[in-house]
Amino acid sequence: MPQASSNSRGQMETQTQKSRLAAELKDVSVVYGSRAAAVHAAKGVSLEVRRGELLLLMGPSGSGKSTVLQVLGCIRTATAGSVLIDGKPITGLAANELSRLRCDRIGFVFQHYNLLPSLRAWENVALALELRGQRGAPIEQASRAILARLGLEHRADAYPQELSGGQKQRVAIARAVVGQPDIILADEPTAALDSTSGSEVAKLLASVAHENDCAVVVVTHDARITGIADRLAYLDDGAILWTRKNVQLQDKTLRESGIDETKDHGHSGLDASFIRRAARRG
Amino acid sequence: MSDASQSVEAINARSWNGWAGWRSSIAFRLAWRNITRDYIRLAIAVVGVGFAVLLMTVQSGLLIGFAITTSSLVDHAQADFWIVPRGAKDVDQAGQMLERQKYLALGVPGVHAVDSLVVRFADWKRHDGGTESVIVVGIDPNRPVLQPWNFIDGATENLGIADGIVIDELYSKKLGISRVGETVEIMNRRARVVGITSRIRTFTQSPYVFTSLKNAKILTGLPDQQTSYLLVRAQPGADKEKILTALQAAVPSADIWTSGGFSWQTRLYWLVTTGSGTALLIAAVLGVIVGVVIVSQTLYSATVERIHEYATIRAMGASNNYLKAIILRQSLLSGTVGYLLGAGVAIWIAWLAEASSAAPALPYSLLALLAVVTLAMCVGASLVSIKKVLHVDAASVFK
Repeated sequence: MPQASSNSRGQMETQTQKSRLAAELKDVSVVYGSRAAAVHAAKGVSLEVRRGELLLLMGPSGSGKSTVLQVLGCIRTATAGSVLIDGKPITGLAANELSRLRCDRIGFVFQHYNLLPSLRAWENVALALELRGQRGAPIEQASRAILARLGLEHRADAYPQELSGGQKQRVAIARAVVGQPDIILADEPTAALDSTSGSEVAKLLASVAHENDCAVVVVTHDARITGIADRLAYLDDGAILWTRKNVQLQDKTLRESGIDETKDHGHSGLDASFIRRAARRG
Repeated sequence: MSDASQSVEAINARSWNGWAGWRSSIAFRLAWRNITRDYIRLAIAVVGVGFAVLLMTVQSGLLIGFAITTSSLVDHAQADFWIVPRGAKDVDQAGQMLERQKYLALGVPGVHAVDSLVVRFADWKRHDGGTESVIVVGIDPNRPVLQPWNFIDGATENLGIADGIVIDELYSKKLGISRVGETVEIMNRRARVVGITSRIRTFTQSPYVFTSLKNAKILTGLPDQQTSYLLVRAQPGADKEKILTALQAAVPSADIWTSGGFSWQTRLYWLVTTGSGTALLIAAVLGVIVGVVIVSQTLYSATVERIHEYATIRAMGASNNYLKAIILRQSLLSGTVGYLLGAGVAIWIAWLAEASSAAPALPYSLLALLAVVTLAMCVGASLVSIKKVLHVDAASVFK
């Protein structure tokens, strides 16, 4: 009986974990080009993306992080393997169906913010709602409300070029979360920011994951933000080498590795050997 | 973020709609600001469309104006049918026929009245010795058929004066006339100006000179028993189809036209047979082509410049229709502003040309039609840009 009870509890935990899955990659490969010119950007990648969790994807340049992010974002089609969003495979969906899926379930945060310069801050946020078919005064109210929650109430009517880098990225995050997506995918969200702004953005993404119960996946080279991750997956040469929970690559580890987290390292802030060393220690 | 979440929940009906872009305000703002933030590009697009519209409007207006002018005699005659010399192609270049055929026509049941009309070219001798070609129009001033219109001095009754003539002010300078009462020489015979009209134009640039039937025959040397046309008026309520058939049988040596038919035939003759209408139409079509090229080029360069923004919108999940809506709105907004500019200038030109012998006619129906053509032109011009945007790689936003 104790054995049966243990099995039952294990099954329940497995089921609970499954129900927490926002997206899942199963043995996904992505090949660009063909024959001699073929580039294997992802090789048999399997990854679970869970609600309420901030997952970091790290690795050197060209390791396949962005490709994995694009596959998760239904922007890039996997050459092999399967991609499940909310438990449903997306293989075979037409382009407009994938667009609709992105619109309904996925929010994006980009390295260079990608705010539309012709739109005010609140209009950039409202665009995400309008793409979902909403319109009129309510989307303005909702957009202004979320900007206010992110401390940008006074900048809601500013154009992107009138905002600082940190403010732009907060607007971009507001745009990503305003539609209450299941998944938020962020591509180097702190790379173009100074350390203070980068830290604020990282914390904001973590709070989005935890408070909104959505899955946040962040591709980054930035060692400063590893502390906020619930899980870290390290990729190299198109494959996931390892994943860790509650990775703490802060303070002591960073200092030992000769990297000062108070400095802005941009893209070159972290290399593969550092991550391997840090993970072993962590 | 619970407050914001609640407000989002309140509005979030999950009704993703591919056509949302057509009625959305953000897409409209995006389109408007995309075209207005770059003033130089906006100016190029608007001036391009405006020039195309101006070209189309003026050329089409001239075409309509000329068409109205060519058939003005027919259209102003209060006749139901025209009995014309066999083979006559237009009202200005009439042959001649026996006037007594009017009695054959009067015998047709349903015919109320038949009146003679003389239309013949003649030479006008100016006071300075120069000669101008004119078209003498002989009417019976006592009959309600084709009386001169738009008098600014004098009246039709003045044509009761034996040598009285009426000319139009548009041609007074050309004919060397400055006021009523002056005497002139037509075909070496004296005539006296007893009235001046306004804006009775001629397509041939040979001015109409109205006079009495008798005087017209004297001035043009037309024999008494001859006439140019017979104008038939039907009794009220009579079956005009039957009258037409009966007239054809009663006057077999002449051609019988309905008034509308002869008007159309006259327009066709001058505008098609002479090629002048074709030239105007070609110029109008060139206007459309110029507009399409300019709008297309301007829109495409603007689209390519902002292709990264479209990739972002695509990555966010925009439908094809949403992207189309943005491009089309930019195109239609440019087209609307350009149309207002071009049509405005065209109306101004038409107003200035009112005092000339060739004025564009710009009826509301033409302006409405050209507005539709302009917008269609802009839609056509946006197709290349739409194709570009629909093929944008959303993954490019990650580069």
